[in-house]
Amino acid sequence: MKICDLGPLVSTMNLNDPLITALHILGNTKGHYRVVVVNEEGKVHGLIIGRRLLEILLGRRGSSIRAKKGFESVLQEPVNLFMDESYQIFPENTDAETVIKYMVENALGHVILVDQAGAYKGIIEESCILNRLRGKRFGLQTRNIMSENVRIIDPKATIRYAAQTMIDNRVRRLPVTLKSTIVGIVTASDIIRHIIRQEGKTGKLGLSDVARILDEGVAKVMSQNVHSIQPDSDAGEALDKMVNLDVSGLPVVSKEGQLFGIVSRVDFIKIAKLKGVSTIVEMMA
Amino acid sequence: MVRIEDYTPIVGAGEVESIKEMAEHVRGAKVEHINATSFGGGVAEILNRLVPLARSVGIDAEWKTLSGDEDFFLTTKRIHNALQGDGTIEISEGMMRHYIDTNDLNASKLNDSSEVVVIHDPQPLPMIDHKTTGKWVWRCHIDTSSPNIKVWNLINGYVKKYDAAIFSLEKYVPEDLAQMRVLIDFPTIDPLSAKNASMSASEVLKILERYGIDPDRPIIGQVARFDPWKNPLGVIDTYRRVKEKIRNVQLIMIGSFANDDLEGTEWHNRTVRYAQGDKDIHILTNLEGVLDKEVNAFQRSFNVALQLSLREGFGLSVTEALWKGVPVVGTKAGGIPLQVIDGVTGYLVGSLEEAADATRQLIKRPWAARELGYAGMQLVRLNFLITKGLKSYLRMHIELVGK
Repeated sequence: MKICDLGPLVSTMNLNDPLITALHILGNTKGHYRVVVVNEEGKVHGLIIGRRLLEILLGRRGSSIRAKKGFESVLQEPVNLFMDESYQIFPENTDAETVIKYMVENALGHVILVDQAGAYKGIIEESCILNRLRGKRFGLQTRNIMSENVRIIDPKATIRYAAQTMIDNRVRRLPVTLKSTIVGIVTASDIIRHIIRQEGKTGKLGLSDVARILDEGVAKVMSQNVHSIQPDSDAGEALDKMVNLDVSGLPVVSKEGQLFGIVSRVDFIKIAKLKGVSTIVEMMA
Repeated sequence: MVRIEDYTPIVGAGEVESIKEMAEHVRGAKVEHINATSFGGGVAEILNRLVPLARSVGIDAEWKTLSGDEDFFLTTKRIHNALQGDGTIEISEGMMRHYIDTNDLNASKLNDSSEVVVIHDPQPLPMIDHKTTGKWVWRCHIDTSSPNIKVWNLINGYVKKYDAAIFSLEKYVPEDLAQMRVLIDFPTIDPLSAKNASMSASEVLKILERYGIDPDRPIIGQVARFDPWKNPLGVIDTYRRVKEKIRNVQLIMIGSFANDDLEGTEWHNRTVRYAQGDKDIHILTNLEGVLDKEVNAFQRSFNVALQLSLREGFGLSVTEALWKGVPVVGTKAGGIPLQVIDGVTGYLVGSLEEAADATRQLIKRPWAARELGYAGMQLVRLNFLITKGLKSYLRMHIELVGK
């Protein structure tokens, strides 16, 4: 199995495209958290992720240009100035086991594939691997792979606070709880989508528009229909549920409704560590 | 003088153009780098190449080093070791006082007109108290994933005063820096430096002969400071295990004595003693004239490069070996697993026994070593060359003082 058999071609943008294009791509494409940035020849130059965009919207990145030229100018600057370099680029003919081994060893959520000339050929993300593992059972409980240290927020919190919490804790989703009961879940993509929708309504995205949106309550953007998984269910059931519902993570909740942790797509890495990469690759074949 | 255009044959015209365009946003910015030593170790090596390259694209960058006495550098080495996880280390009030006082004395070196000041590693960290102008960045090059908390708590107050902090890997970012602007910047190597530029076989041969190394017998080696974290004694143990089966193998251990590393002499002597006069173990340093060109030649002569570090920031010696098409047998410390992909660019090992097995296998199967070496070179070409480092560097400046 060659690794490029696995990977979907996620959205790309040109390095000279304005930053706002990245917001549009992530705001309008469900299930995408990263945009690969390429040059005119299609060569990979880097990538921009949802959390980075939140940082820019909150003024925690891009602050120098923002101070000199204003917020709206930041959105019109080339994405090249704000993106991250990618240090996980592999030749497209690399075999699946190698790439998965690399992702597992280094706890990475993605690897970018290029051809001989360095042109973008695809990205291997957690979701490609989960798709291949659909229906599989591992003899491991979800509690064995979940993260226990869960950041939560109150439904009365603002979108700004949610975004800040995501940035500070380097996470992309937060359960929203009321008296220990989960009433929603909010992701970086939800916030970006909400902002882009507002732009669609008014045709512009100024600093005051963003400030107003960020001061809205998080309840406005969270998903209220929260799907969860029980801690003693097989880890495979958790992966299936994420694939079938097209969500990037699930709260792990007891029968009594108590929040135990959170499981996300990237936790397939923990399964691979516990079961062995070769076993996982065989299961994917 | 280095020019960004010189990299076109390696990374392509598109990459070079994109760097030049980015640089326009920070053209003329006055930037000051401060670290502990101008020679020896990865940081000096990075700055040695990055500063001239930054100047070549229009940044007014300069590089200064700290002055300090023996006590100062002994203390900073203790802090370094504690941040890398040595939980037994304590820093007394007196040591801390001297650490701060030495930084105060060095503050006169600061340039008042700098727009960006980049402080590298813990040695000059307290200089932040002399900030008058500009944006200050702390660049941490070491593995701080599980620091000695008592020592970290002594210095983290300084870190939080900076405008931004940069770490080599996401996993090195301490939790209590959550509110800070934190950037991640992988170290990279310069393919045109004397240490990494292409070299003819005859040049390699000459250098091997000069140091009495037999070019017709297998050679394994580690390039690293003489430091407990680099596990030099473990390297010798591994060599001895390899030698049980491959009698003619030779070991080259190359290190340099950095001004800020007073432990280096002690660990060098200890390594020499441990070698017990084995004439097939060559322990070489800058004192024997082993500089960048010689390191380049030795690395090219390796059948297998070893990197058996117990802790590692990123492991630029691994990058250098892979760039030369040499497979690496390494531990899982720090950034080594980002470069050594088990069975693809080398082998990741969990014990010295495994290290010896993998090394023997690669010596006996040169065809396999060649494949791994080629894959390693590809990995470095795609991910770890200085042009990428320069782009991250420019983005940092755009972030802080971009226009």
